[in-house]
Amino acid sequence: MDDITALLPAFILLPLAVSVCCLLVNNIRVCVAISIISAAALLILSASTLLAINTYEAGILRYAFAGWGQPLGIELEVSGFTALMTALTCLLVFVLSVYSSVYFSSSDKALRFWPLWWLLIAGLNALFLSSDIFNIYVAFELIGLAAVALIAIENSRPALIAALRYLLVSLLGSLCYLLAVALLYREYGTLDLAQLANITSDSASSTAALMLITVGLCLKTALFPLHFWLPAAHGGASAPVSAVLSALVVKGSFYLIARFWLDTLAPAASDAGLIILGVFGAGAILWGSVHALFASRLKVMVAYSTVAQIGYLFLLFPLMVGNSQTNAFEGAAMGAITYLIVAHATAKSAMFLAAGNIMRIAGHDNIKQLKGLVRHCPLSIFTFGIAGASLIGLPPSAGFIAKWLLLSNSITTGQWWWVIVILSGGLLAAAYVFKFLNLAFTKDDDTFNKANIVSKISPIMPLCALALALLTVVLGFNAQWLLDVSGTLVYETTGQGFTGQNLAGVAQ
Amino acid sequence: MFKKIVFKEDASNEPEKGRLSTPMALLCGSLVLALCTLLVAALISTQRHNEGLQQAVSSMLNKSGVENPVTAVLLNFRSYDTLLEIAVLLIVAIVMLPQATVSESHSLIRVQQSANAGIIMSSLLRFLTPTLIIMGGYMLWTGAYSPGGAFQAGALIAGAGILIFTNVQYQVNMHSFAFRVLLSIGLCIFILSGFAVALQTGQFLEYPVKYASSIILFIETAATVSIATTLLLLYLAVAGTQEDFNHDT
Repeated sequence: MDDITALLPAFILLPLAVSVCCLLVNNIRVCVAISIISAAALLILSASTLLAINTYEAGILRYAFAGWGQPLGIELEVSGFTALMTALTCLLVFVLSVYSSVYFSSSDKALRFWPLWWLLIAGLNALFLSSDIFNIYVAFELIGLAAVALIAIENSRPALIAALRYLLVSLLGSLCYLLAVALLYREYGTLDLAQLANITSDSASSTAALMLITVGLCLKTALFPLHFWLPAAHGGASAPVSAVLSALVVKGSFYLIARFWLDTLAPAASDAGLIILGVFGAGAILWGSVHALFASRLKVMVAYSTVAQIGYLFLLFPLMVGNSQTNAFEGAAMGAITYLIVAHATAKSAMFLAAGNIMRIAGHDNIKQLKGLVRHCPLSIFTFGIAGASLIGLPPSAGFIAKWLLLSNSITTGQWWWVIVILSGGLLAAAYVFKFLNLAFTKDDDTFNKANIVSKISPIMPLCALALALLTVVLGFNAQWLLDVSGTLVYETTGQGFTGQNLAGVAQ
Repeated sequence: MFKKIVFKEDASNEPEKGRLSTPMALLCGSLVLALCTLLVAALISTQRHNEGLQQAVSSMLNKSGVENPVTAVLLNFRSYDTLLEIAVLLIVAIVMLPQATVSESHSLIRVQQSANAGIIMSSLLRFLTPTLIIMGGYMLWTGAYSPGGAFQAGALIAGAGILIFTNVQYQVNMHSFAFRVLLSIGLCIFILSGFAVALQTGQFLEYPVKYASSIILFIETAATVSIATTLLLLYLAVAGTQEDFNHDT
């Protein structure tokens, strides 16, 4: 076990080192070679961490930077959930790195892309593994600035406007979070998440800190109605960047909201607050899906679908009402959300890559002018279809399992009204996915024929997208394994929950 | 005599769309006021934690290798934070690097004998540059005992750089390999030192107590170079004084 613990800093330091190497060599072929090798190394490391954490009794690994330990120094902390998030990050990074190695055509874009890409990955891993609330702020800076820079390398006017808006939103979110960190340090005198979780109370200052954290991180997560920046930013970036933004970057801030509400600041959280978060989530599902249905550009449609999918994540909070005082990252609702995060990350990145391929082939992504596209890029449309099935929640995809878990949770906790929201969100998702597929399969020679094809693409690009889409199906068949490794142990905990309730009933 | 400094701005004269109407502005103002009042109320009603981590910092200060508690926190106790901050600076540097229009083979700095080189500026620089660099070095050195350190030193040296490259005689080639080395050396040295000490002590960035002060000074020196270069790059990229370098070649 010790050897895995000693390797934990590599999740952050290897990407940083690769970034510096890419900047220094300034040669695309070398950058691609270093990047793919390092991505494979990170993937192996994250997989072994994930497997190791399950054999470890405490379920948590900690690494003290500089040997000081909390509260004086900074520690990394890996639990089943964060190990799963890191593994997801490393897996997507590997596929997206392969995709990006052929995606960028202009050398200036590619030379800028690789160092920034690895800095973003370092930030993501730092965020998921950190156990220190100020260090998390620094990780947010790294992620936010790298993401903005990656959107801006697209260098078109809309992309630059979207990047600037994203920068301002992200800075405002970070500052709210920083203010909350200051409040928490003033009150408790420590910055370590695990230490804070033991000593927090429901004082006015803690409540204020929780509110600031919620507003700041909801801005970064793009929870409705604070999602206004997301469609332009995710829709305007290049395909691999959009994929990583939708699949991972918004999940990072969501993870922290969940961590603060359900674990670190659970005493300051109120049931009303949990339900309000759920209501905003429901609003996001409906608002995002309707806008996706009426979007005129393919990538904007996929981006609005992200707004809707973020809404599903926030249904976690009302389902945790009454459960908020126990360990946060266990329980049926958390299992469902963990599954949803993984399902959405793979499906949405597959979809963005497919949309990127279509955009590269057709030269635009105006949905109305893509009639009959299927003959020119069958694989990308197929990928889009599978990923779409997962987003709708059709079996046997991972999205189906996630939604089924969410539905059964809503019913067992007696909150049937979320069922209506989840089902109508699924119907709307079916509407926008089939709207595009229907057009793509329409045989109409007038709108899209060979003459419209702008450029041919390397076969690696559709294959990467397909690999991610097939992954959603594979995950759909291995639900129990995924829930086990994430440490949420959904079925057993549900059983315990029932026995707990029964015992309480008997006692009364 | 001096290069004409033109700050690049968006030239489009769009009407101001972003202005809020008066009721909206009043609403926003009152919301901000209410938020501030709530925050102040929350602060007043909650007891402050007595000492925070001050006691832990001062009890460990003798093992940190420096006497200034701020430097001890930044470069020893929480050195990992600073490492990530240096990486944040690198993002800014990568974004601001201009597009490659000249070949990489040119040297880092080019001296151009120009007839209209300002004699006043040149002679002033002859005194100011060494002074600023020595002051920067002093700031770096004094960080171990009193306020100072890599960021302050880097800012001073960047100031010297701005003065030098405002003069037509000197031009910096931002596409050269050497320039990229200067930008990333802070992060490189930080990571490499972290590994090197880990071979001895077992934990990343855990300095052996005996050598802590020299290792901190070493890391800070490299960080100063990167910070100064990044600040200089920010100025030159926005001020646009270096364009003639590209046109000449």
